[in-house]
Amino acid sequence: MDIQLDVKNLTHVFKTGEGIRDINFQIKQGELLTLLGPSGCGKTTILRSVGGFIQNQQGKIIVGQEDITSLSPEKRPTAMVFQSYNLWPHMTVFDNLAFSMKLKKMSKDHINERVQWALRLIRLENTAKKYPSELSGGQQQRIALARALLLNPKVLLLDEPFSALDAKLRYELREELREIQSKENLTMLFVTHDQEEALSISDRIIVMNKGDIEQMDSPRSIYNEPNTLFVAKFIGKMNFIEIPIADHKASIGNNMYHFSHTNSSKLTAAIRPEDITIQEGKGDWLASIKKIMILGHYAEVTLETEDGILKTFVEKRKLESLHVHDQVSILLQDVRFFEGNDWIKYIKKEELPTCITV
Amino acid sequence: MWFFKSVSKRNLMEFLLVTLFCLFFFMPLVNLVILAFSGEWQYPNKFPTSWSLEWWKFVLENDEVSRSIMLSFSIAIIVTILSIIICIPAAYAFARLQFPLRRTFLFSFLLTNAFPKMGLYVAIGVLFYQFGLMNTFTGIVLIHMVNTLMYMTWIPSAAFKNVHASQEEAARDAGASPFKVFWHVTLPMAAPGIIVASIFTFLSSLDEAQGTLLVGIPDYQTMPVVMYSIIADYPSTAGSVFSIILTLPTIILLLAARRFLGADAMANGFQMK
Ligand SMILES: Nc1ncnc2c1ncn2[C@@H]1O[C@H](COP(=O)(O)OP(=O)(O)OP(=O)(O)O)[C@@H](O)[C@H]1O
Ligand SMILES: [Mg+2]
Repeated sequence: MDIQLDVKNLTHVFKTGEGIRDINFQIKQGELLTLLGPSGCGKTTILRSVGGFIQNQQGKIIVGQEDITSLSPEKRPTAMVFQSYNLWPHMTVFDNLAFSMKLKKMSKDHINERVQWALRLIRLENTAKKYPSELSGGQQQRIALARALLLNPKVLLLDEPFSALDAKLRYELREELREIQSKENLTMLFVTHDQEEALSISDRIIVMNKGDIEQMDSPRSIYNEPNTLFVAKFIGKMNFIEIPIADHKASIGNNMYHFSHTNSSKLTAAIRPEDITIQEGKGDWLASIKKIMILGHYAEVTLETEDGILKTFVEKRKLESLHVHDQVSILLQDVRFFEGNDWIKYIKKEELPTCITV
Repeated sequence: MWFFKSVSKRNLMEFLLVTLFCLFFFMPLVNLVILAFSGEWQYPNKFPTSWSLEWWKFVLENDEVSRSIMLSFSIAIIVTILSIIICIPAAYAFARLQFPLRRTFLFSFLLTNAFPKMGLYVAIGVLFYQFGLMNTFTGIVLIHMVNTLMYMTWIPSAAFKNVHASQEEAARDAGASPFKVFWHVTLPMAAPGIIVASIFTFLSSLDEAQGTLLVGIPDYQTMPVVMYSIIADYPSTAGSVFSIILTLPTIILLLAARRFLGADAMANGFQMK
């Protein structure tokens, strides 16, 4: 597939010293790439650089075959949807949508047809005569999306377009966005700080931290195989335990992990709650139940081990056999180790002879 | 008496206050109108004993008066146009750009209105002497603009600030050059504020007497200047006829402004929360 957007060595540092440094990524035709990261990590800065609203940065931005680095926003083949204040309040919805086509002096019939098409796409057919003030927040953002689509952009840029809306509406709109995106085969660069949103709609995710890219991967890999401790902490729920390391070996319960080389004396083990199973009989590790919190069809169980606290999820029907203060054995499906911020791979896992049974 | 029953105590207070305000505000106006049409009105009588249009005829047929009306309106129009040309770019700069001494500049506009006017005018008058601007049309226009610069910068500047950067950027994105963005988005969105400021400018130029008296004497006599002499030289009826003529444009323009002020409030309502 073709590369639609190619960002090379993009650097833009503000006077304050914050900004983005040496950003490299590509988006394929028809792909939805999400920039995800905590507030202030530089997501908007990247997006605005691509849109042309920040200029004089170092690096290159190429759309299709064309180097657009030095073009002004009105000349770029990109379209942007802002977080809010997208629409022009003195124009009707129709005029908002028709603005770009009127500038290009297209024929009235053509404009009408295109506006109708866009309104159908976002399912707001009978709002053409209304003013933006007469629409709800969600409708306004959909109109803004339609207006951006009418520019026929090669790359569509969205800066947290749904973040001002309530959770339910946000959910609906991102479903709708994903639908439109695949129907129209749009190439999109999407910014959010909501990881659920990112995981659910993206083809690929870039996780950012303080102006740098931490990891660029599919949602599944970002979740299952975080490359850095930062990503592991930022995405989803995760248990972290500090464990000492000696002689390139570290042990959790009765499992011994071997590493080829380590520099520090401590590692951080990261375990997803769903990778911990509580069982009767033989297990990896001994724990006592500290707390059980019912959260609907499942419960969050807090376990105390000799190395630290772990949290896991248990289905409702398995809960009956569990009581606070019970001694249980637990099984670890997957453990990921980090040395400092970086993921470190173990080369061997060895079961110690000391058997744990409850 | 459903009306009084339906109003609570607090509403009653409001009602009384509004009534008082109306009396205070409109009594002199009513009195003025009655006086303007009266023929004979001696002290103990509550109303004139005879009505007449005599002084209307006098004022309207007086050459000096009609010339002063023409002069006042042409000055006001020119002052308004010039103020718009000078102040709109300045207002936009104050709203959008960060430059050194920005606050000082804004403050200096206030300063011209903080001094006692006459002192300022005398100081300006001295300057005008040196440049040969005394007793000239240009001189009067300039001295009027000393006052109007403030409205014309502050009010539109606030209006420009209400236009969000992303609304301008969205228009750039849609393919508009910076000038077209200003023309199609920024200016129309700030228009209510600019219109209101222009009306204020127009009216304040129409009303200005002190500076005009100082700079325009003896050849340039505007409405308010002429009114001083009419009030001094003729019975009070002539004065009231003249004040009605002077107030008329104010009332008409304020009614027009009210329409746009309503539009302004609407524009604020447009913004997404
Ligand atoms: N115009 C500017 N001048 C100076 N510093 C800026 C400017 N714009 C952004 N910054 C700084 O650059 C950093 C990155 O900002 P950016 O807006 O890209 O963050 P973000 O990831 O979009 O955050 P958020 O999720 O809060 O929108 C921030 O620390 C911010 O303070
Ligand atoms: Mg942002």
